[in-house]
Amino acid sequence: MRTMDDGPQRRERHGKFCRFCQDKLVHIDYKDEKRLLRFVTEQGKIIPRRVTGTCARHQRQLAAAVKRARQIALLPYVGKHHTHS
Amino acid sequence: MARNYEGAFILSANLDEAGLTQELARIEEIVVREGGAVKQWDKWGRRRLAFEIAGHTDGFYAFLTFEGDPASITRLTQTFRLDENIVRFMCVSLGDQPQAGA
Repeated sequence: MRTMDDGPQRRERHGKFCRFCQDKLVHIDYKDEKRLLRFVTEQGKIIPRRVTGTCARHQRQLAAAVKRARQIALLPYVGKHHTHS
Repeated sequence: MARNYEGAFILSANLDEAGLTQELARIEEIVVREGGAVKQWDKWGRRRLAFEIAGHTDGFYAFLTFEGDPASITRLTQTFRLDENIVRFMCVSLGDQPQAGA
């Protein structure tokens, strides 16, 4: 039961952990477009790890992988990614 | 000293089956000529590019793992850039990818 002393209600923390560590991934593949897609915005920007919860090591690998994927047109540099059939 | 590399190729979607096989064979030939050892092709087939490259909206994706001399990579890159059937070429060292080099 909430009393006056509870103070402002706290939002439950959840979902902030490194997805790559969870999957026990040693290396992030630049060809794994589907996986990379979850870590870029609709505009194609790499989402900061403060938002996704990715650990520092994996964020570095992720950034490199996304940039490689862009070079070979798997991911857009800018703009929406059209889904492939 | 030889290292493991992965070459990413986007070939022109205008090529027909025969032209494609020919081009892939040509790529292998060039790699071998530069003292490399061809290992494995990973052919993805035709797919839409995330953005237009020199008028191309689609391309044939193929990845070649090979062993080669680090000094030959610049020459390979130059050769492949001049090839009109290759829309895009990128070479990645597999040194930092232990499980992918097998």
